[in-house]
Amino acid sequence: MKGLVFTAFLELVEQKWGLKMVDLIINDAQDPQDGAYNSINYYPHGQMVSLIMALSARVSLTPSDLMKSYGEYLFSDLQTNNQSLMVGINSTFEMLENIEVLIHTEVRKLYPEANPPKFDSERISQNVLKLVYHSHRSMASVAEGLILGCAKHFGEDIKVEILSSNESGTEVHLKLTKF
Amino acid sequence: MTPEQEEIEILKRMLARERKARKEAEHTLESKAQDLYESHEAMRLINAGLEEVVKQRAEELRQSELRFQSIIEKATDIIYKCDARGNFTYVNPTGVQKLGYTEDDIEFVHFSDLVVPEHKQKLIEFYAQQYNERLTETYQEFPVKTKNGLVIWIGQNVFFHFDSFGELSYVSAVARDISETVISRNRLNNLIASLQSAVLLEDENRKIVLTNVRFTQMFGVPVAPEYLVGADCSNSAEESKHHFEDEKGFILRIAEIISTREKVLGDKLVMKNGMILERDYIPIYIDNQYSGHLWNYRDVTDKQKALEKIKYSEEKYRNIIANMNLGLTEVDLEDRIITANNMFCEISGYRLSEMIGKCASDLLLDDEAKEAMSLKTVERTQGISDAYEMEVVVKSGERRWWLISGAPAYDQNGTQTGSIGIHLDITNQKKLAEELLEAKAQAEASSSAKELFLANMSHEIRTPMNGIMGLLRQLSKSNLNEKDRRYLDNIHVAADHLMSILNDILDMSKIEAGKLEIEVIPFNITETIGRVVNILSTRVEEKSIIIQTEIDERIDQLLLGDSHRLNQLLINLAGNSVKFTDQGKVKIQARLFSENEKSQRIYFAVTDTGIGMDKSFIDKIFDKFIQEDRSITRKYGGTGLGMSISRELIELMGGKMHIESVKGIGTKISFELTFDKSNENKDESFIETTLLDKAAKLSNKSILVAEDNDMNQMVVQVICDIYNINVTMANNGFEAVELSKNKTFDVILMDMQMPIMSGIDATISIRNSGINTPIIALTANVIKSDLDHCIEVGMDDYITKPFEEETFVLKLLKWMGEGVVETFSKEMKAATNSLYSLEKLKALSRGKNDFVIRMVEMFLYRAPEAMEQIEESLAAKNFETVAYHAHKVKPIFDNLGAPQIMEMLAKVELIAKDTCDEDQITELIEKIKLQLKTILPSLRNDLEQIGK
Repeated sequence: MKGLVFTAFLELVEQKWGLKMVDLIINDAQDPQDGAYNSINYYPHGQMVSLIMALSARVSLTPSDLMKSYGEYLFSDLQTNNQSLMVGINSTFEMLENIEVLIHTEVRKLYPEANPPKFDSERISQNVLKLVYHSHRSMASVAEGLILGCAKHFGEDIKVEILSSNESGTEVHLKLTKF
Repeated sequence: MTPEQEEIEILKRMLARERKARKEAEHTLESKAQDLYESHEAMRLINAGLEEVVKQRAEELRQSELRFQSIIEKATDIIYKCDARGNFTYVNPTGVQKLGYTEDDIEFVHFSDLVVPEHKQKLIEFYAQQYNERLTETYQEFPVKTKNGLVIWIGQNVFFHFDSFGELSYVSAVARDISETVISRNRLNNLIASLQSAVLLEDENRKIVLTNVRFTQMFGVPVAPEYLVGADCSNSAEESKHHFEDEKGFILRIAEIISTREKVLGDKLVMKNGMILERDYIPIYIDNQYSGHLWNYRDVTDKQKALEKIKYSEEKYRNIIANMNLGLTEVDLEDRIITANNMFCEISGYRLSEMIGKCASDLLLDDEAKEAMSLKTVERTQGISDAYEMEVVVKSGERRWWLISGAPAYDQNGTQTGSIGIHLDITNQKKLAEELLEAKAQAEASSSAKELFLANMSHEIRTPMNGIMGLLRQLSKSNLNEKDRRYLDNIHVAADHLMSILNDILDMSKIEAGKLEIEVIPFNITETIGRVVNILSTRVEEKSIIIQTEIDERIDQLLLGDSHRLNQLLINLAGNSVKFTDQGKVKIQARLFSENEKSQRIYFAVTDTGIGMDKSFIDKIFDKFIQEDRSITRKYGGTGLGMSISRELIELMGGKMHIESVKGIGTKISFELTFDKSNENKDESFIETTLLDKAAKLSNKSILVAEDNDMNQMVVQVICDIYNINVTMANNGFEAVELSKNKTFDVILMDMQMPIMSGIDATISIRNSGINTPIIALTANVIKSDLDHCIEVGMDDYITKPFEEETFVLKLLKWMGEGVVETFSKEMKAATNSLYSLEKLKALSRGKNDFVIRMVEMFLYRAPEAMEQIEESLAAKNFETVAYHAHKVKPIFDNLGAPQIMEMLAKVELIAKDTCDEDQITELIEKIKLQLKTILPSLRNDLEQIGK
């Protein structure tokens, strides 16, 4: 997993719960990297799951809620650092409908080792979009957070419902309703 | 631990973590940078090589492109590219030039624009199909029209270039001008199509490649030949066997031919429809590989029939040659007999086996003939063929005459192989011809003997006749009692007849000998006709018919011609008319037919109301000695020569005789003669003028007469006595020569045929002794060439025997009385111009004026009386008496020499007997009376003159 995901997560923990919490969960998670992450390198996905699980235990929040929050945060972080990619995108739905072309294509160009999730979108109506999440990482909640972060960015009120999910969470069907 | 310590510991750990993360990042970045560097270096190196390669490749490409470009541009084929829609994007120079465009304007052309309109649709469909089937390459031929209107045939390979989506991106093509190929192919196709032979070309799988119309016609195939291409022939024999007489044989033969695959020429096939075919089978091998075969069928029906005909005619001629009556041989160049037909064996007496290989000349010819034959052999080598007669010796030793026709014989190459001879035994004909020749010579000899005999006979007869006639004339002048005179008259008539027969015979023999010639001297037609009437008048009066003359006044007084012959001719014709006319009239007409400056053409006609002739006889009338039947001869007499002589005379004078005759009605004989006009005013012929005035001129002249015949001597003596001429007689030429030396004579009369010395020899002798006395020939010979001979030897003139006193005296006057001639011609002229003339009376009176006076007195009394009688009769409409009086008074006017009145009276008589036209008679009588008013006082005047 891209180092950026780790550094952004640890930054979020530091902002919300302070350095001590950062140190605690690194300890709790028995992180083989001992928290020394940079955005350039790649790290095993399991280490991310361990950190989220350790945080969840410490702050009494569900991992999915944590991941949702993390998603929101990640969006604003990514958006800030990659504004050029967003040119011409004026709404969440547009963003989601073009994510494969605009974002992941670029990702694959810059980071040939990266393996981002795949999104299939289907516009049901003007304000309803159906989205299918595919990823072996089973982190649909991060995606949910990202969507909410995005809605926040465009000043939109969007409700995200999880319609269904397979057992392992590698394929999740989402319904987005814009208000 | 204090929270501060704890916080420091946390911060220390955080810092350691950050450092570690940074180092790891740095390490990653460094290794990435190293990687980057290395790959950059590698890239740089690769790039550097790449540039070189690119440069090199680009150059290679350029060169290759140039090469291709040059190949494309220099290609003799048209190479072009089109876009998917068919617009040209590139055309090589050859194409541009061939199509007549420039490089600039061809880019706006669509390929289909170039195609000749009739082929456009087909071609578009063809390429649509290529597109639909996604074929990358096709070949097609079609005609295109160049910009300047020329049509050229091109054959093009078209390549379709499809992109990865299967869409046509562009088209490239290589096209070739195949006009010449197409033309020659078309020509070949046309040639095959129009061949008289039926042609069928099959490929190795027995599929039809090519056939023609003749084939479909011959075998009744109901489709055009092009539809047969590709059809399978493996069962065709079975399918078409019904056309042939021998169906089974046809199939077997085809199977045999097909299986052996060997060339077969001229197989004969008979079709059920009667056609006879000749079939060729020609297998086709390409690189020793059998690749089909050609059938060729020829209709040889006509040829076959012609062949049969030739065969038949050959057979026929072979039979003819074998059986003909002509001997036929062929010999080689050494004259050795190669073959001979039956007839040759027969006429030569040799059997064929005896002759073959033998030299023909040795076998049949003697040495002399061999020599002649060797010349013929030489001629044969020069290609000359001819026919000749030759005497041969046949096997029996007999000599026979053969007619041989020889011609060189040649082989097919035109080399002479010998000669062919056709022989006909003409021995019998030859004998016959010789006999004929002999007979002809004999006949000719006898004919000329006959002619000679006739000429001599007539001469011999004429001479004594001359004496008889002369003496008769003298006797008639003497005083005779009535009985004696009647006897004398009868003798005269008989003698005249005899003379005319003699003359006819003589004339005829002269005409036959071509020796009769026509003189050209001035004469007067009126006089000539008058004389004819005179001569015939006695006979006319005896028969109580009338003779009329009708002479055109426009005819010149003097014309140039032979009055003697004209006279003879008219006497013949009119005499015939008189002879064969028992009632009615005979008319002699002379009319001016046409005239030009130099001559007058006169139409003569002698018409009678006699017995006429059958048309069939008219055709034979000119055959000599012909008369209509024996009864005619008995009744009318004559020699039958008259018409023949007359016709000859007319033709000699340049005319043609026309005869119209109706049996029982009459005959009209007419002819036209052209006479030149005479320039002479003088007239040397003083015929019909009085001799009395000249008598004095002749008085006391002395003449020498050389004449052996006693009777002729006497005639001459009697005439000369009348004119008081002194005559010295010589009995032959020698005496004449001697006498002429001793005495000077005024004229010498010289008979031609005399004993001791002939007239000719005597003349020569006299002339040689320098005597110029005029010599006049006395001859019974009237042939011009003989007369010319007389003149040649020195004679001056001639008198033909028998002669009239008149003629005799005139000739003497001509040579003894200079100036007399002129005087006479004036007198004669006066006579013809006046209404009457006493000359005739004076001539009759023989100088006895009282006779003339008595006659004139009688006339002065009789003429008015007769006219009164005629008028009276006319008033009484008694035409019979009119005719009687007119007839009766006519001789008086005749004696008075008044021909015009004579003629008018004759007309009156004729009309009175014939039409009884009162007005015409009255008119004529008035004319006569008018003339008499002039004549009668003039006559009284003459009477006084004579009385003095």
